[in-house]
Amino acid sequence: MQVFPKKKITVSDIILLIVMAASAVILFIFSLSGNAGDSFTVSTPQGEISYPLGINKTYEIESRGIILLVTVFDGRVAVTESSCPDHTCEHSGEISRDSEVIVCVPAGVVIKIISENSGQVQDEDFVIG
Amino acid sequence: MKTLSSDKKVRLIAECAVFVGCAMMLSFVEAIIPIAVMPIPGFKIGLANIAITAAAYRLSIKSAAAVSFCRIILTFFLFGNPTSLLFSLFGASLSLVSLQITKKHFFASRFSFIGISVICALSHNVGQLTAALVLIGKASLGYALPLVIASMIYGTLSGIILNILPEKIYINNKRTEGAI
Repeated sequence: MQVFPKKKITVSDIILLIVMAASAVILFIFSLSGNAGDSFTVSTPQGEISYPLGINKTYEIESRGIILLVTVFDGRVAVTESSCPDHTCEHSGEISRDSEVIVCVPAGVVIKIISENSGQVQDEDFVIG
Repeated sequence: MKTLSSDKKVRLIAECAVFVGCAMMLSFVEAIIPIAVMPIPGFKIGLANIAITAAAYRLSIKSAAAVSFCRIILTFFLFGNPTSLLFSLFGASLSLVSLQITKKHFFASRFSFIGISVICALSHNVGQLTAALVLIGKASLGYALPLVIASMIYGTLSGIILNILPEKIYINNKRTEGAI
């Protein structure tokens, strides 16, 4: 016999939402604790290139026939223009903290912030898989 | 597996088709909302899941899976690209698994559709993150925060819609559930 869910919000629903909100807050605090980065890497299917964060400049990255304009300004990196069909990377905003990433799936590009003082070993803790 | 008489079979196929139509329409509504006005960039609302959940309760999880995969293939032909097809398949598979789990007595007797949609939205997003891992080979924990927030907001939104929908949609008097 199939039990039918309630049609009004229940206590369990509220508990679930509170647990999720709490985990969101913990994740937010966790993300703030990251160090400011020193450089960023752009990995494409062709390979990985490192760029400094200190210089304000716009880089043009081409991968799988898609051209990405990657802008560095005041230690923050953003994808300002992309010729890909879904433009999700343009809306990802700016990244500046250690191990933050912007991913452009159609181009197969991953832009990642690297911090030298945190070291590569600690950095691995932030990566899933 | 029980066998259905031919008129029940016809009814089941017709009802599945109606749900596919609803899901397609909701996908279309979602596709015309510009990314820029979304509360969280890069995350879709997942309105089609309203139709999938309704199908799972009215018919069966098997029918809901059929509706879900038909919708994904058809949406892909209409406005998709190959990457979004893979993302959708991963997300939909995982969210169907959690839909089946939440149909069990333990969850269904405690939660309303809000809790159920939030769980399904979370597993849908985890499925998409898995797809990203498969495609790119790496993903950052930095994605976990927008993922949890998006699941909460969008899951609650579709849960409220599912709560408002009339009972008639979920209760099937003609008993066409079962085999497909």
